[in-house]
Amino acid sequence: MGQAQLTLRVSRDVIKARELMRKMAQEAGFGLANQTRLATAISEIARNAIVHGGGGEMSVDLAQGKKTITVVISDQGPGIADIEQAMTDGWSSTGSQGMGLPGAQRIVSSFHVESSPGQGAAVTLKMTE
Amino acid sequence: MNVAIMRLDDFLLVPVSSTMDDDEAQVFYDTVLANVKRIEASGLLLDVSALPVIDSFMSRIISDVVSSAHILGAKCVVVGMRPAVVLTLLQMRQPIAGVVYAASLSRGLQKLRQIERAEGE
Repeated sequence: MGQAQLTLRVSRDVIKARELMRKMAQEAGFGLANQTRLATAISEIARNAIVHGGGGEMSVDLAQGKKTITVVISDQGPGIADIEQAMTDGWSSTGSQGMGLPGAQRIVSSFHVESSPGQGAAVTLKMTE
Repeated sequence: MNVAIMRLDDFLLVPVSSTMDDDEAQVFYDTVLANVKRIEASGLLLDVSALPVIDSFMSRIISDVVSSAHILGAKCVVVGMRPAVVLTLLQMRQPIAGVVYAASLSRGLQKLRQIERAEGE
């Protein structure tokens, strides 16, 4: 199982996304701490894509024999006007706690957001065991 | 969604399901709070041991249930959080504030009874 795709549309898909991540990380030989970190980060980003982006796509890639998982979650929503602001603790455009993106960034090996207004958003994150 | 709620004297024990999604979380909140009110619970044990992941949304639900139950007169203890979840929440810098924790259900019960005794004195 080196690759996987998942469509994110409804809140149930957040559960599917994090379960898929946990399973893949476990099968790839990741320890419990990194399985949990990765699944938690994916839970945050998948929810963002559904709530802010109107739904999105997730693709997962497990590098052969390297114990690195790369996940891209993209949406076609309104995009993020100010990425730096969106990465700040407590900043939210919807009245939520605004902890999702900054929290997720702290628990993965690498984290990158690409977005511009009207162009949707794509979050790429990597986890290396 | 079925919310399992068990009664132990004046306490309620509520296991949080690992498959609860964001839409069901509102039902969960409403059901737990309605039951705290109905039996005038003096204590609430929220069992999170089944949760392999606690993200910012789930943190908020737990925190909301605990604060609301407290206002309704029930002391709350969150029990059984998995060590990997604890570590993740700390690293995300979002520990759930203002909550009493216990490692297990029996320790949680002990804590609730201690809190009750301390208040009775």
